[in-house]
Amino acid sequence: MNNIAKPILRILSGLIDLTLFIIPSTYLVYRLSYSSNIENVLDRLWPIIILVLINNMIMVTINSFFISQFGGTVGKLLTGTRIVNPNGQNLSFWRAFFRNQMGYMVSGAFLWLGFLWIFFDKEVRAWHDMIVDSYVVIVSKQTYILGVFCLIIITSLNILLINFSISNFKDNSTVYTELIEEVTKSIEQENK
Amino acid sequence: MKDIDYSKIIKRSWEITKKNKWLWVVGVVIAAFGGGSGSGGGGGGSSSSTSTTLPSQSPAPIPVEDIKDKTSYVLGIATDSLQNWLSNFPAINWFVIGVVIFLVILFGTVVIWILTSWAKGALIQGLEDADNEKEVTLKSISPYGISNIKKIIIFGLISTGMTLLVLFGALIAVGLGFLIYSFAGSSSTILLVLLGILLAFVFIIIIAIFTMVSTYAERLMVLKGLSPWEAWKKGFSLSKGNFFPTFIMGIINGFIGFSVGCLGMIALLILFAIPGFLIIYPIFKDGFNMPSASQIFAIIVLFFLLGSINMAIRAVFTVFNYGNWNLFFKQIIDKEEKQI
Repeated sequence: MNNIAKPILRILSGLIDLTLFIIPSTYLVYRLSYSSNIENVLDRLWPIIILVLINNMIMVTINSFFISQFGGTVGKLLTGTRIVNPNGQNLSFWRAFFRNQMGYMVSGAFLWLGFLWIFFDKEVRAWHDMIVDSYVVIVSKQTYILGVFCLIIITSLNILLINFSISNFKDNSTVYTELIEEVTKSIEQENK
Repeated sequence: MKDIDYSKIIKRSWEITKKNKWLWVVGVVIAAFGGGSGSGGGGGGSSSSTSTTLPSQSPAPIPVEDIKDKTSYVLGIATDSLQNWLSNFPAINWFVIGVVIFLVILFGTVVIWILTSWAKGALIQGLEDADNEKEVTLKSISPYGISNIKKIIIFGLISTGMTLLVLFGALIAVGLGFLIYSFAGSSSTILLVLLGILLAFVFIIIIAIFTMVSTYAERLMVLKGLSPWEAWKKGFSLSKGNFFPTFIMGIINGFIGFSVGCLGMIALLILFAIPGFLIIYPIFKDGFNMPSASQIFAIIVLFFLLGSINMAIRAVFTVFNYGNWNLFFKQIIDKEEKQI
């Protein structure tokens, strides 16, 4: 297989995918952060729990759709790389799903060695690539600049949201500190 | 029975396991996500020395009524808000939460079922290729795993159905026993106890045969290309015809698994005891001191490493275990073919 993507490109595309998919979570945490009473906290907490539960399902399904239709996840497309079979064609939806769900589980099962395998393999293949016989190839050499640019923007957005969340949590700290103080007082009384 | 050379099987299986490290990857999957044939035994939690000193330091027990009062006082504000929030929580949201939890459990179960079926198929074929001195890689064995997922899942459903039927039968037998006892009274006690022991024995034999059927059937599907139902039938006849040799192989595997599990865990605990002690000792020196971030991180890393190495040992044993069964299966099939 020609034009095999280097590990750095794979890491870049992986980071784009990861940061992109945590935006909804960071946004919901941001929404939670400006809650001023316990009811508000609870109202905004349960969507986060729901999102945590279904995030993986959504991510894998969307990624598999993108891989089968466009040849790669958003991160791959933005870095000019594609996931292809040995004939250079796109993977089918189910093969892509197998790669991204079961394959990732295999790669991560033992100290994430399967992901790190890209640094040792001649064809820069991770275990999930070997399992479904896929390759990550470069289709556009200059596009990675766009990838870097996008990663900076998405990461900045995440950092911004986290920053706002922290400052909001500090502003509304009375809600949490009062509760903590009451609990601490009670424990102290109990100890006495 | 004399035809089966167990020591040869174990020796060859260990050779294959040592040589073909790609099989360990598949072994990790089975060890981590289940699928039977893992190492038996092992475990055994470490008891901290602090647990023995704690009772002398702990305050006198508080009456239950006091705890109730204090808890309601502390959680008064929080519980009021929580109750208020819960009473106003829309029904549609409960429905959404229910659906999401159901979907997540269903998705997780299906994914793990597919993954372990893939791993079993790949491992069985990989061991066969390794025994035939073929090159074994993740790429070479994965297609076999993928092509056998459907068969292994259907077989799992058949197997579960059969086990449930047996359990149902056992429940009916127990119910009948109670009925007889209630009509016949204490005069039937001895007879019922004897029948109960007999039934329990039959039940254990049936479950043992079902386990053997699974072992044979998985190999018949992967290596001989049989359909799940054909594999079940053929596996059942092989289990009946070779009950004792299969039982002995099971005992040997169980014993090795138990020994590996126990010894592995003891070795790991000894290995991790010194760094563990060095990290934990300052936390409990002169009473409890809040651990620093680096100490918490070190504890997490230590537990993570302990778990990972333990899993690696179990993965290697899983490959060895499957190897034993593969070679045993081969000998049984050879014997059957010679008889024909």
